[in-house]
Amino acid sequence: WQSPFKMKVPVAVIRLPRGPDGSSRGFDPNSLRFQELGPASLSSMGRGNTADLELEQQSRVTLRERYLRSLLAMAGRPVHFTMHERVSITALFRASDIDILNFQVSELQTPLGIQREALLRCSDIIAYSFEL
Amino acid sequence: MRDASHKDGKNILKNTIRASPWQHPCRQPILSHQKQFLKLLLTQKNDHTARKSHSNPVIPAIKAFNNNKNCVIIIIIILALPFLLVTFTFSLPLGNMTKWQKKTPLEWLDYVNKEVKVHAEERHEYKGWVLTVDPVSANILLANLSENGKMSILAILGHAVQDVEIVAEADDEMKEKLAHLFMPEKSPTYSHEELDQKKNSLKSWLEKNHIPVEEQGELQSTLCVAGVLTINPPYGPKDCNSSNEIILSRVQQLVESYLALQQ
Repeated sequence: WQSPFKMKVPVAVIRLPRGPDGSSRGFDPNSLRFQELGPASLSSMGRGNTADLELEQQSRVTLRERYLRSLLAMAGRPVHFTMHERVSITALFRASDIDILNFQVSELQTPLGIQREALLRCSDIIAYSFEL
Repeated sequence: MRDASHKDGKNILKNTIRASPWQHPCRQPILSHQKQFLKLLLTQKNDHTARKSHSNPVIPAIKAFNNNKNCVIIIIIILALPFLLVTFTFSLPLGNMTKWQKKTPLEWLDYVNKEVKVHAEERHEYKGWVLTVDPVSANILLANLSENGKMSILAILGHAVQDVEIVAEADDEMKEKLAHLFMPEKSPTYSHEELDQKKNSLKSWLEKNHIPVEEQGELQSTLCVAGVLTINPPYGPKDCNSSNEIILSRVQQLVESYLALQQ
């Protein structure tokens, strides 16, 4: 069987995610994700007051840097996840997205067997732990 | 008789021809007749229904009810819609922020370097020294010294945190330990001349690759690429700073290849 509309030359499909601009956090400003997590969602005390804002931004930076460094230290280590409904699993942590919504793990040990690669939704996780 | 009927037929023919719409004078009487007839019909119908509803106003209502049961279902759905919407918006995982997630970075900073007890969802309880609170996800990072001398790190996801109690404050020794837990090891020190040389050779190499570079800062020690990326001493790939991820990764790759070329 041959399709009557057979393409003579295959067309390359290029689908790249939208690049970040200066103000965004890496996502399309019209997307639901951006509206939920964009700058408006950040809790802030000193709106308008520049001195307060700067102090707040500095504390945000120190807190965030420590957290990101902890993620770096966690990469490649076995991490124990405590999920909802008293489920606990172990996996090798690989990476996280910038708003900490998903963790990419490998060698996920599930009751059904070991999953080579997996994405864990952070909304399903209650806590995780690892040893340095 | 035949002749007369013949004549009559002719007259009828004449009249019908006259009544055709393109003959102006004959149109009006017909139209007015039609109007009158229609009026009569309408008034009669109105009288009919009026009389019926006067005799028993409930019957038509019941009939309507029986005919469209679907109407009732639609009305129920319309009434329930606001409640459904409210429950839907509150059940969205991103829509409802807990008290802990709504705190500002300055408030979170108060918890850092303190021993806390965290109450989480499903009656989980955790205890430890607060290393940091992620300002984006509100995740709490706790550190505990385990028995074998290793540090065990525990994180409670921000959405699962219900309550945080401060148990104790850290002494200086503990603070020092916590602060240096994830920090990179100390890098080698460079002299001013070495840094100047490094900067100039990187700058000339970037310019050779058609990348616009300027010197910035008080000592002209920072390199600025295209106004959106800065490279601080000692000018390695980890010293690049930019809010644009794509430019950052491109320039970092360039700097890496430059360092590989030098070696």
